[in-house]
Amino acid sequence: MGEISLRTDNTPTVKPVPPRGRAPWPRRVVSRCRAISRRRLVRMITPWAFLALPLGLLILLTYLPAYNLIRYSLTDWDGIDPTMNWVGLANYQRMATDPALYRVLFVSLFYLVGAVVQIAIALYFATILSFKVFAKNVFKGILFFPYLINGVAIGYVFLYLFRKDGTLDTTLAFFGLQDPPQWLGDPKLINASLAGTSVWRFTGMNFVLFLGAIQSIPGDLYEAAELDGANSWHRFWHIILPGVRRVVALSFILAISGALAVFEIPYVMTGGANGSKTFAIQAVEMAFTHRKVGLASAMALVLLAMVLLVTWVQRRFFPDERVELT
Amino acid sequence: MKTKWPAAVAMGALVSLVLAACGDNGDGDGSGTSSPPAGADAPAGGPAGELKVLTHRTDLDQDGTLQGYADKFMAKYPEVTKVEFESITAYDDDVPLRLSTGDFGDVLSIPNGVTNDQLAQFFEPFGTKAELSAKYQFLDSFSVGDQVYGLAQGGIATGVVYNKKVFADAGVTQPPTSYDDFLAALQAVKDNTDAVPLYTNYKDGWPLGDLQRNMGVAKGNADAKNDMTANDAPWAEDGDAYWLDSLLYDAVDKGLTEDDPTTTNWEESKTLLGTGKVATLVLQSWAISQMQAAATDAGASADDIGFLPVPSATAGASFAAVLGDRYYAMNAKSENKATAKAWVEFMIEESGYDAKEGFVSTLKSAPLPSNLSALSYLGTELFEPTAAPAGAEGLFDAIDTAAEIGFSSAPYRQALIDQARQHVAKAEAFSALNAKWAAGRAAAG
Amino acid sequence: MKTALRLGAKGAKYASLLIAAVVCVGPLTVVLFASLKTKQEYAASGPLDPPTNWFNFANFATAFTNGQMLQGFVNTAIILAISLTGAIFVGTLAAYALDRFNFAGRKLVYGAFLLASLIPSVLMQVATFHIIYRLGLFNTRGAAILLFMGTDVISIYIFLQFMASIPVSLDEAAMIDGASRWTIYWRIILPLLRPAIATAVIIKGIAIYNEFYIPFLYMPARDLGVISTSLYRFKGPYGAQWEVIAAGTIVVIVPTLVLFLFLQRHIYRGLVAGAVK
Repeated sequence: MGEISLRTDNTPTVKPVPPRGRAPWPRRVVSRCRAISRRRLVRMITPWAFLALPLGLLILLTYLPAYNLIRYSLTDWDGIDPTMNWVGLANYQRMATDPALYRVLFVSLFYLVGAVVQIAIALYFATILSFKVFAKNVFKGILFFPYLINGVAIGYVFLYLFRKDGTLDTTLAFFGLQDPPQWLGDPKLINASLAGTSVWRFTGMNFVLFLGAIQSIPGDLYEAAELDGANSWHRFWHIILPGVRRVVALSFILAISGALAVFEIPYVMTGGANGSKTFAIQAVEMAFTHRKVGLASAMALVLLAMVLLVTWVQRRFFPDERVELT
Repeated sequence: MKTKWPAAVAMGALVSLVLAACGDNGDGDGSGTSSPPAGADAPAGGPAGELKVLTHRTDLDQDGTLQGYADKFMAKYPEVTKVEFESITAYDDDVPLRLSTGDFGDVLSIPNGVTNDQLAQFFEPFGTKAELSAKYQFLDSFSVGDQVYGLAQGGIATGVVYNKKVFADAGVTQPPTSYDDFLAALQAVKDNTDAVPLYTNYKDGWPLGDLQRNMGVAKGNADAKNDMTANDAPWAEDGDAYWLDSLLYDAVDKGLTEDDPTTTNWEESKTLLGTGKVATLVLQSWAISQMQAAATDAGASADDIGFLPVPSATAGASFAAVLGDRYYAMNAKSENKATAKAWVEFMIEESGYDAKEGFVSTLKSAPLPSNLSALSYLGTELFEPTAAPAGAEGLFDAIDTAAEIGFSSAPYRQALIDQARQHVAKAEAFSALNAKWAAGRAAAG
Repeated sequence: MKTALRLGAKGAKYASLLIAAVVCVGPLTVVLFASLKTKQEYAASGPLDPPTNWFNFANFATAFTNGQMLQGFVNTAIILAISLTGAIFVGTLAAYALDRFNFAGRKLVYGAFLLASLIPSVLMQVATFHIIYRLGLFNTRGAAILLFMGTDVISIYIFLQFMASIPVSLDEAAMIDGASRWTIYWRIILPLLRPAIATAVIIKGIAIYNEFYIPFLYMPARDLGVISTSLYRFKGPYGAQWEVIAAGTIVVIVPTLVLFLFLQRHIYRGLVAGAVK
C-alpha cells in the first residue's frame, strides 16, 4: 500500500524548489526536467498513498454497494435467484406513477413535527442552562443522556411505557386521568407516540449543539444589553437567537432528511404495523416480504435523492457553514 | 408415548382413506411396514465429520434440546465429530439473502420466500417421489417434477386451540365447528366472561402469516390454492380466500379480539390461554402441546386446552388440512451430503422431535399423534392440500409477488386487522384484494 | 411586584427543569424498578411501585446466564477494540491527506466522503451483504469490524477540524529536517491529534456499542451475539417476562451511564464536532 513511495518522498511540497546550480547544459536541463517531473509525480502520488486505505474502504463498502444498488434497481431481482432480469427503467416508472408508494411519507410528517418540538425544547433548555442555574451540569447531563442509550434498549423502555397499564397509563391515573387511549394501538395515536419516543431520544443532541452555540456568543454582548436595560426576553430575541440561528436552521434541515429516512424506532417497536410504516420500512418490506429487491433498490435511491435534495438546499442557503467542505 | 391407540388407529385409517381419495399418493400404503434402520441406506463412507444446521427454532437451540439430538446422533455415528446449530431470529428475512451465496450450512429449514422453481438451484434432492413415497408423506410441497427437495420436519393439522373452561363459563356447550356457531361462541365469550374471545398475536405477526395454511379448509377444498391461480376474484363472497380471511376480519370488526393488538406477545399468549384470559387462538396442532405446557406452568390445568377444526362454511361438516410444517433441505453445495441426509433421516425417524412437538410424523408408518383425537371425535374430515400441477409450481408465488399481497406474510393480515379495526366494510377491503390479485395474475400469468 | 415576577419566572424555570428531568429519568427508573421485582411481585404491582427488595438481582442473573449477555459483552469488546483502532488509523490518514495536501481531486474526495455520510445505510444492506459475503466475512466478527472501520465519516470531520488548528509550520520545520511525509504523520500529527482521537474514540465507541442492524444482519450465529442483538433476542423467549427484559435493558444501559459520568466533557465536545458537518 504505497509505503515505499512515501519513504522516497523527502521533498517539501509547500514551496517550489529553487533551482540549484547555474547555467545548466542543455543535456542537464533535460535530465533536470525529468527529475522535476519525477518529483512532481511523487508529489502527485503522495496524498493518494495516504488516501489509499480510507478511499479503498469507502469505495468497497459504500460506493460499490451503491453501484450494485443502481444495478439492482434496473432489474427484477428477487434477492434469492442467482440470475436477475434486466427490466430497464420499469422500477422507476413504477416509482413515478404509483402514488400509493408515497403515501407512507405522510408518516414522516409526524416525525417532522416531532423534530420542531424537539428543537424548541432543546433551544429553551439550552438558553436556560447557559446562564446561572443551580446544579447546572446535573440537568445538562440528565437532558442529554437519553441520546446515548442503545436503540434496542429504548425500544423496550418505551414499549413498557406505552403498554396497557404501563408507565404512562399508571402515571396518568396517578393524576386522576382514567381510561387512557391505546398509545400504540390507536392508529390515530401510534405515529405521535413513536415520534414522541424520537423526541425523547434526540432532544439531548440538539440541546448540546445549541448550548455550544450559545456559549460561543461573546459575553460582552450580554453586558452591553444589560446596560441598555434589556430584559431576558430581549436578551433571547436579540442576542441568543441571532447567535444560534445558523445551528437551528441546520438542525431543522437535518431533521427533514432525518424524518424522511426514519427507520429504527418504528422498526424495533412496531415493525411498521398499524399505520406506522415509513418509507424506509416500506422499502425493506418490499425487499424481504415481497421479494422485490429491484423495486426496493429503486425506492432506496429515490429516498437518497430526496435526502440529497434537502442537503443541497441546505448548502445553497448556508454555504459558509462552520466546517467548510469546499 | 401416551398415544391413545384406538383413537389413533381410527384416525390413521381415516387419513389413509382421505389421502387415497385425493388420489396422488399412489400405492405406498406404509402404515404397516416397519422402516429399515436409518443408517442402512446411507451412501458408502457413512456419516462423518462436521455438520452445520440452520434452524428457525431459536428456542430449542437456546434450551439445549437441539444439542441433545446432536449428542444422540453422534452416539449413533461416532465418525461424526460435530453438529453445529445456527438458529436465526428473523429466519425468513435473513436466510433467503444467503441462499445465492451458498453459505447456508449443510442442512436447513426451507425459508419462506423460496419459490419452487428455485429449489433445484440451491438444494440437493433427497430422491425421487417414487422412492420416497413408500416411507414418507407430505412430499408434494417441495417437489419439482419427480425430485423431492424437502422432507417435512413433521405434519400438522389446521385448527383452533381453545380453553374449554372459558367456553363452558360462557355457556357454549357444543363445540362450534361451523362459521356461524363459532362467531356466536366468540360473542358469548365476550358477553358472559372477561376473557378475550380471540387473540390475534398481531405484534409477533407470524401466527397471522401461518393462517394461509387454512386456505380451502372452510369448504374442504384441497385444490384451493391451485384454483386461486385461475381466479381473478378469490375474495369474492363464498370464495376460498373469502372464508380464509373472513374469520379474522369479522372477529376484529365485531370487537371480538384483543383491545390493543400492537402490544400482543406470543409467549404471553400461551399463558393467557392456559389461565383462561383468552378463549381461542387460530393455530395448528403443533401448538397444543405448548399451550398445555404453559397452562400447567401457570398453575392451571392442561386438560382445559382443547382443539377445534377451523370453522367450516356450512354446518354439519368440518375439515382440517394436514400438511407439512417446516421442511428440511440439503445444501446442494454441501461437502458432507451423506451426513446431511443421515441427519434429516435421524431427525424424522429417531430423534423424537415430532413426538415432542405433537407433530404428525413424516413417516407413513407412524400412528397419528393423540392431540388430534378431538378432531376425530368431532367427525372432522382430514385432507392433504393438492400440490401445484407440474410446470406451475411457482405460479402462486409469482402472482402473489406481482400482486404485492404477501399471502403468507404477517404485514398483509396486519393490514387487514388495521382496516377491520377502523370498520372499513369487509366487501370494500376484499374487493381491493381482488383487484390486486387480478392485476398480479395479469402481470405474472 | 417586580421581584414577585422575577421569583415567578425563577420558579417556572426550575419547574420546567424538574419536569424535563423527570421525563428523561422516569421511563428508565421504572424499568429499573421492574428489573428488581420477582415474577409474582411484578404481576401484582404497578410500574411506579418500587421493588420491595432493592437487592433482588435474580433477573440480572437470568439475563446474564440464559440471555448470553456476557458473551455479548465479550464480542462487543473485541469488535470495539479492533474496529476503533482501525477507524482511528483510517480516519487520521484521510484527514491528514485532505488537510495537508493540495492536489487535484481533493474536492472530489471530500465530496465522496460527504455523500457517503448522507446515504441511509439501512437501505444499502442488500447490496453490502453480497460484498461482505464475497470477502468471506459473513458470520464473523470481521464483518462488523470492517463495516465500522470503513464507513466512518464523523471521525474524519473531527480530525479535520482539529488538524486545522495544528500549525503547518510544524510540518514544514520537520520537512526541512528531512522528515518524510509518513514520518510527519506518524511522529508529529498523530501524537498531536490525541485529544481529537480521544473524542472520536468515545463518539465512535458509543455508536458501535449501540449499533443493532449490522451485527443483527451479518453475525446471526448465536455465539457471535453482541450486546444489542443479545438484548433483542430477549423478546422471543422472555417476551412475557418483562422483569427479565427490564434487567437486560438495565445491563445494557449501565456501561453507557458509567462512561458518560466519567467522560462528559469529551462526549459533548465530540458531539458538537461531529454533528455539524
